[in-house]
Amino acid sequence: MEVKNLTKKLGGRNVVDDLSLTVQRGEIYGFLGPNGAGKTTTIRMIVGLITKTNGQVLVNGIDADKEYSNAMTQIGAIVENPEMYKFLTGHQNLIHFARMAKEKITNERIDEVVKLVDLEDAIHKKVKTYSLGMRQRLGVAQAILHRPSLLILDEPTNGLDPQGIHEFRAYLRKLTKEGTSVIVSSHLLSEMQLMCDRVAIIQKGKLINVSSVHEMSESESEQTSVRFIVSNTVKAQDILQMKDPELEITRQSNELQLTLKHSDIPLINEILVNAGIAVYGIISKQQTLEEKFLELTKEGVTQ
Amino acid sequence: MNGLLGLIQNENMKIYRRPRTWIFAGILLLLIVGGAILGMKFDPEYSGSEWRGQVQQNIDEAKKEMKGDDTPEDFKNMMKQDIAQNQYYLENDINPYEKNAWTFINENLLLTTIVSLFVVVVASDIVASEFTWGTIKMLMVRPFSRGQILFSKFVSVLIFQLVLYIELFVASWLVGGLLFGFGGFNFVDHTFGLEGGLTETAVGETVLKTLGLGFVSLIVIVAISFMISTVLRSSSLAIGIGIATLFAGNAINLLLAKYDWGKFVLFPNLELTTYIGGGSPPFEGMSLPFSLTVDAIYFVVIVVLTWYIFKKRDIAA
Ligand SMILES: Nc1ncnc2c1ncn2[C@@H]1O[C@H](COP(=O)(O)OP(=O)(O)OP(=O)(O)O)[C@@H](O)[C@H]1O
Ligand SMILES: [Mg+2]
Repeated sequence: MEVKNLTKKLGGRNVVDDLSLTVQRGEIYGFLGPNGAGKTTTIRMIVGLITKTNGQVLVNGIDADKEYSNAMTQIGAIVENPEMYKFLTGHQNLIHFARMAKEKITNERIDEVVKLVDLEDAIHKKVKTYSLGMRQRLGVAQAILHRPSLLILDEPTNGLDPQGIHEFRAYLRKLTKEGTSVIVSSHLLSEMQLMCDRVAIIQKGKLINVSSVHEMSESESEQTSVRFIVSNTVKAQDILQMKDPELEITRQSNELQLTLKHSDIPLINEILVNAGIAVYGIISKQQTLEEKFLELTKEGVTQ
Repeated sequence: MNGLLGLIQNENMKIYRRPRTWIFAGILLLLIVGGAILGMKFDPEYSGSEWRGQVQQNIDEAKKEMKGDDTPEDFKNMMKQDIAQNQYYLENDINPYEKNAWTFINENLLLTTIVSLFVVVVASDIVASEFTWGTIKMLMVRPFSRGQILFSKFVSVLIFQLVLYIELFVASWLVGGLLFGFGGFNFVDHTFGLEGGLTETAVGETVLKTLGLGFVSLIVIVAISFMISTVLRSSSLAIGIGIATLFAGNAINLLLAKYDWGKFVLFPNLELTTYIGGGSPPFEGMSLPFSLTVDAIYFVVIVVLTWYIFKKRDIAA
């Protein structure tokens, strides 16, 4: 899927501002951004719920404005909370949405999806008796029923228990193996880290950073802050500073705090040991993705 | 491949899986059966030659009431007409109290008002409720245009309207038939005009015409409710305006009476049943084809407007 220069003007300002992105086949693409960043608005434009002020959406090369029906056949979506018909059973809800697919959806397919989202026990109960997590599962079920090639999920783990989130990640992986692309939005970074291949950070409607989760974890190793618990802090500091005057060292009562590359930790250790200093412990405190995210979004504000 | 039929099936499922729909159908049935029971108690059928005595009694009573000097002239005329009518029955050996399945349906035609009310409620709710439930966004992200979704909803309301009309007709016919005997389609219904003129129509014909024309004008009212439901996304407002259209018609007609252009307004043209049995229309130059044409034009304008506004609207519910 490709989004080009997507813009939405609401109440006199650009809620989504010239946003362009490409989602590869079989990829899980994360939309990360604080509340009000414009994630839901972007998704609404992609699925045609609201008009675009500007921009273009291509699904498998199909322009969603020109061939809405064909584009929508490729898409399965949950926009914000999955609202279902409460007076119908889960099963009746699925039949309802199955009838809205262009291809015929068999009963076996419905059963298969119900099993996948683990709702077999409750599927013949009325949705008004469902918990939030169960409704979320039903929401996922209706979105994948017609085997869409692009799945768009707005905060899908909202309301799921840890077990549910774990299972959810597992079946997203399974779907992508079959070639489905997924867009997931969230304001929880830790979740994105576990789920996505790439994460786009959105701030005030602008795309401020796209990086693979892998990259994000890599880059942070450069900025590791490491604490060495040693017998003689004064001597240790002198030795290290002598070896490398540039090195940032903060001395505390029984430990030194250094900022260095992750790969340099064994080297420092060796120097200290060779100098006859006892090393009782090395604690490397990595900058979390959370911190990185906060840093990035802060930059976004000042830009 | 699934198509529009699937959408219509869906809308029907949503209508008939709601308890409200069955309550409406139940109330209608109750009114029909209850009406029959009350009718038997307070409005007896005079069998054999009993009716002659009853008609004679009516004449005597009317004559008595006409006497007295302070009786208003209008009332006297009414009584005079009443007497003439009853005299006619006696002379021509017509039992006006005769009941059969068709006369029973004829009496129950008043219930079309209740039917209209129920249909307006469903029409007002069918789009707006998707907004209140938040399901509208689940409904829209499908390979169907908004026009197709609206169409399936509108068709489903019309099917519901048809179902209630059929219920009214069939239940009345059955209850009436079981109580008073089936048949009687050709039973002559005598309508006496104010000037003493007399029209004779087969009661079955009156029934079918009233139902048919009532159905047609209800379609226009449904379209109005549907439009408000779609455009304002508020079921309560749509129900309110729909019901006002149902009942405020007469008042509006009176207000319009002095203006020539009044006949081009929708309301007078919704009273299609006035044309049955040669009734006089509220405006000069109006006729059944005229009213049907005006109704059709309003209907098309309403439907196109609804579709156009809904097509462009941002769905942010
Ligand atoms: N009709 C509207 N008029 C003006 N501003 C609007 C309108 N609808 C939404 N907004 C603004 O658009 C911005 C983006 O909203 P959006 O729902 O897309 O955020 P989000 O990223 O999904 O946030 P969340 O994490 O809370 O779900 C918000 O700042 C909101 O105030
Ligand atoms: Mg959101």
